[in-house]
Order: sequence, then C-alpha cells, then structure tokens
Amino acid sequence: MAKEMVAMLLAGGKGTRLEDLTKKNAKPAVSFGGKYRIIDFPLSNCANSRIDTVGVLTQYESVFLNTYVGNGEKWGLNGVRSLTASLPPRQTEAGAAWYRGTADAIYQNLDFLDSLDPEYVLILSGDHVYKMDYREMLEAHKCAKANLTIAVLKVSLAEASRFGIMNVKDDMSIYEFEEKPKKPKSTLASMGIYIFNYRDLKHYLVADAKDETSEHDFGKNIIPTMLNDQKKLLAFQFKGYWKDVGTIESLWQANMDMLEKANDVEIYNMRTGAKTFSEDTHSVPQYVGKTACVTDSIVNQGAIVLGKINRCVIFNEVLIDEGAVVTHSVIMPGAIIGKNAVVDHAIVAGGTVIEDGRQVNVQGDKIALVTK
Amino acid sequence: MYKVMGLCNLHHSPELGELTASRPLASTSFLGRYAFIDFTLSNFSNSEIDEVGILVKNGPRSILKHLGSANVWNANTKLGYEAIMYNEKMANNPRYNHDINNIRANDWMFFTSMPDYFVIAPAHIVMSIDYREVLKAHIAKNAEITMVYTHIKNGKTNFIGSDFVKVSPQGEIVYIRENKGTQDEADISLETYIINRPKLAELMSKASATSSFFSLNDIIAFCCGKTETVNAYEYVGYARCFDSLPHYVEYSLELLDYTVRKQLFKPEWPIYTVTHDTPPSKYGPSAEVTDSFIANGANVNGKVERSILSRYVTVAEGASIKNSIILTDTVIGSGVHLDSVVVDKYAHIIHAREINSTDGYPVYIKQGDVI
Repeated sequence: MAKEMVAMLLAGGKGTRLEDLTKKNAKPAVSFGGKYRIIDFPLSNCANSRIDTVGVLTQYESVFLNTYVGNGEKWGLNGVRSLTASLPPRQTEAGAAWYRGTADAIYQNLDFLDSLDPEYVLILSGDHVYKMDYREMLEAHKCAKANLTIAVLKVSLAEASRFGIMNVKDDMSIYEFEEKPKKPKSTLASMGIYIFNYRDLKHYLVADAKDETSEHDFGKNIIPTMLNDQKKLLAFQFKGYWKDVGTIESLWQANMDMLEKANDVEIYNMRTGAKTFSEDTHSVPQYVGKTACVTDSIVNQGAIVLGKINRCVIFNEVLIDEGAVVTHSVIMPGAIIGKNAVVDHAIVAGGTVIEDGRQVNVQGDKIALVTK
Repeated sequence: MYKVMGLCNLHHSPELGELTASRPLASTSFLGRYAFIDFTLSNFSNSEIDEVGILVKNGPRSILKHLGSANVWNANTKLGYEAIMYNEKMANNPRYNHDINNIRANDWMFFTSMPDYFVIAPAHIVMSIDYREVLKAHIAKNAEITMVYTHIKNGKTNFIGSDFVKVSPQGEIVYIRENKGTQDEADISLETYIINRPKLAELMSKASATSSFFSLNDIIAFCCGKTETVNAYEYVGYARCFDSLPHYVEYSLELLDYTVRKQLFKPEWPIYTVTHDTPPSKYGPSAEVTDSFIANGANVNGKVERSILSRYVTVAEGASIKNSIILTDTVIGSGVHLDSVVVDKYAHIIHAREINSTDGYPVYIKQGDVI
C-alpha cells in the first residue's frame, strides 16, 4: 500500500556547540524538559500527525539513537501499518560513504523511499523543540500545488540576520531565499521543515549528487537550485513555539521557557492538545522533603528534592540534598546536588555529582555547563 | 529446568471503605501513580515469572483498563502474558465466586501452560519479594505446599482478619486461624503460596468434597498440620495489609519516611506500572510542598504537607492539604483546607471550606463531586 506522506528525520549531527553534552551523544538524544530527549518532539509530532512511516537518519554516535528509536514503540509508531527505520550510513555494492550533507543523507536512502513509493516526503530535523501538526502544512502544499513547501516562523527583525530568510509574495510563494542576510527583506525564517513532492525531491537529489562542487545541503544547494529553475516554492507560516536548541544558552533558555505560561509555550501543557511521548523511566515516586522548598519549577518522577529549588527543571533520579540551593538551573537525570551546595544558572549534566558545599556558577555571567 | 506460573489472587481483597465502591483494590490508585496490582505483577516479573493469571473476583473492567496491553511487565512480549481469569457464571454469587471456582472455570492453564509450580500471591498485602528464593527453599525441602509468612509486632491493630499462623520448630505450619488482634507479636500468613501443580489439583478436589464454599485459603487451613504438610517460609521485609480506608491512608503516608520507603523500593527491584506519558509536575511561585509524593502532571501552587498528589491534580494558590491523598484529575481550589481527606478522581473542591477528619477516620470525597 503506497503511503501518502512519509517522514525523514535528520538526526545525524553532533551539535558541537553543546560541548560536553554531545561528547558521547548525538544532539537529538540530549535530555530536555525534565523527562524528554529532543528527538521526542519531532517523533511525537509525526505520531500526532498520523504519519506512520518514519526514517530516522543517524550518523554521529548512532548506537544510542538507533536503540532509542527502536521500533518506534515509545511514540506509538509501531502500529499495524507503521514502519520506523533507523537509517545510519551503510555499505552498498557501490561502496561506502558517510552522509556528506543533509541532501546527501536523503539521496543515499532513495532506495528506501522508492520501496515506500510515497506521494510526498516530509524532511524534519531532530534538533528542534516544538509541537506541530504536519497535516496542515501538507494541506497548504497540496492547495497551492507547490513542488516544495518550507515551514517558516516569523522572527524579529533584529534576529532575522541569524536565519535563512524567505522572501515571499502575497500568496506566500517564495521568490527569494537569503541565508543570514545583513539587511533582511522579510522576517520569515526557515524552520528546516520541508514537504517535497517525492518526484521532485528525487529529481533534484540525483542531479545534486552528480555536482561535485555542491555541499549537498538542502538550504545551500537544493532550494536555491529549485528557485532558479522557477519551481513553485511555498512558505507555510507556523504559529507557535519553536526553538533550535543548538547552544548551551539556547538549550537552557528553552528549558526555562517550559516554566513560563506567558510565552505561549504549549509544548508543555497538562491536559489538552497533543501529547509529547517519551520513554518511561520506571522511577520511584517523586518525593519532596520535610525541609524542601520548591517553587516555579518542573520536577519529574523519581526525583528526590530535600533542598531548595527555584526556577529549575529537574529530571528523574535527581537528588537535591538537604540545604542545597539550586536556582535557574537544569539538572539532568541521575545528577546529585550535595548538601548545602549552591548552583545557579547552570546545566548540570546527567550523572554529575556536585559535592557537599560546592558553589557552582554563583555570580557567573553566563550559563555554566557542569559535567563534573 | 522447571516451569513456574504466577497467580495474582484478588479473591480476598478487602474493601478500602468507599474507595473500593467503584473499583476493586487491585486497580485502586496507590502512592499517586501505581495501582496495588503493580507490586504483585512487578514481583512476578522481577522473579522471572512471565506467565501470570490474574484471578479476578469483581471489577474486571477497571482492572483491564489499568493493565492496558500489560506489556510492561513482560520480559518477552511474545512469551509472557498477564491473563485475566474471571468467573462470569458465578460473578454474582459471592459464596461460590471464590478462587477455586475461578481456577476451575479457567482451567485451560493446566493444559496449555503445564507449569510445575504455581506461585500464588495477593494484591492487598504489599511487599517486595523475590519468589525465586522461596522456590529454592520449597524445592530444597521437597515440599508440595509452601506458605510465606512474616513476623509482625503490631498484630493487635494490623493484619486483623488475616491468617494468624503457628510455625513448628521444623518449619511447618501447625495451624492457621483468624487474627483477632489478641497479641502484638504474631506470625501472619502473607497469603502467598507455592503449590506443585498436582497438589493444587488435589487440593481443589478436596475442597469441593469438603465444602463448595471453600476457597484455597480455607482448604489449606482445614488440612494443614493434619492431612497436608505446609512448609513455612519466613519473609523479612516490608509487608503491609491494606484492609481499610484508615490503613490505606496510614500505610501510604508511612512510605513518605525514607527508612520505610527503602524497604519497599529497592534499586535492583523496580516497580513497573503502565505509563501515560504524563509531563513532569509543575510548581508555581506560591507552592509550599513538604514531605509529600507528587505525581507527574500535578500542578501545584498551594500548600501540601505530608500528602500524596496523583497525576493531573491541581492545587490552587491559597489551598492547603495535609495528611491527605488526592487522586487523579482533581482540583483543589483556593481557600480550601483539607486535613486527613481522601479525594477521589475528578472531584472539584472549589468553594472555600475546611474539610477535616473529626474522629480519626479519613473523610472520603466521592468521584466527580463538586464541593
């Protein structure tokens, strides 16, 4: 049975700007929000959008990601007509090559896509935290009879120079694409989420593979080429919370955003809307102690808080010992904050032990990543 | 190489006041996110007992709803199972709706599963037990029936109505009687047995020949020390009998103390339950939580002291909760003060008032009540 739309999730990158957090972990596997991993967001979006076929392209430190993705059970992607495939680079008769770019990664898996024979292909990144129903984007793509639809987010003029900016006509068709423009003509930033007609995707990937001067990247090569060829490119405006958590600062900020109601952060909602699925940690009940003080924070099951925390995101199996004071911080799974320790504006990596009485980043001027 | 089948026996589950009016004890919420049956099923799972029958007396709908696909306890999802065993024909006839008739009505397991040993355990006595150790002792002694018992020091107020046993110096059960609370130091049956398959069939025949009303506990008590040898295995560790609403509250809150909690929750003995992908709990700027279990999904902005909040409980600013257990999806509004209350699911306590127990018996607020 041919699929209407399948998703290809690019999860091969290291995420060097996350420093030690990605030393032994691909960026999509990094912990987020008290209980999730970043890749839980795009995968949950696929599930909630009723996409039942997902290829996850892995490369950097792929072993953990491949096992975590597994048969897709964590996100319900193991249904009767489902397929969840981990796609690391492989040897073929032609030889062996690492994925050289985002477009090359998809190109090397054209046989996988051919076997599914989809009408449309949704290209996603495993680096982003957001909630989206991709069916709305597909509807717009079909209505406009586009060859490629790119999801865009309205950003501020000040920020626009950091993004790939789409310049559009009134009907949202893209006439120009500028990468990190010094003088932005619009404030519609590319989210790195694409819907292609499979026929067009295949054509352009095959052509691009032959071009030795190409960097085999969607943003740098495929999109500009399609624009030059006067193909119909549509911008689909996404309204909601979206964050690329590529730096320590932005990872910390996105975690803090979960504490905020005002930010319209519907990625963390209690009872309504789409759920974000993840792995259950089979933890003991969360216990808050006799002399504890917990305010303005998010705490996962299995955590034991005996000290004082304010504006924190606390993961499972974390111990905040008596007398400890932790503020504006993200404490990842299994970390221990010792008695009377003080931690401020920090990300404490999973399993880290902060000894009794230690002071971390007190009066620091930026976010500290603590791994030991 | 021998084969073991687990039977989770719910036929002797007591009532927890009005809490068990709408669901059986097995699927009643415990510590904010478990159901009682999770502990028995986890004990089976961790003891590598993968084929489990659940002897359901009543409330199969609720138990099925909790278990879902029941995959979470299985080491191998194709080879393991938690099968509901329910006696539809006798469900409305309490005298006849006992475990023996239930096994009879579901005796397929004798023929398809063919285990060498049955491990039979209840859900209302919560413990952390490795049945492999009990099996080893059972086999070493060449026993046909082993009963797991424990020694308690507060028999005058706990395990009332449970089986009081006398153990001989040779490690056999001399007699089984009802605990009427006459003494604090007591050996109490944990209603946990290991029985060889042929012996179980024999006991069932004996039971119906003696009395059609006899349950497994009854026939064992009737025969032990006389026509049957019941080997005794002493369990040392956390064991509490959840047999009333006051005990439900008392023992639940008792687990807030680390010294008690660490006897039940051991790092190498995880307790599995079905996940609902609930987001982590959220604390507001006015939250004042101490000495409590807070489940995921809870939204707390008020005062919570020595209490247990279940999933998706909302506690507004200006509310205060003490010595209470609040079940799923409830709302405790501003200005509401609770002390020693069990609030059942979906209740909305939103008009400012004080609800507290005046006689030591916890106040119970019904499901879906608006107060």
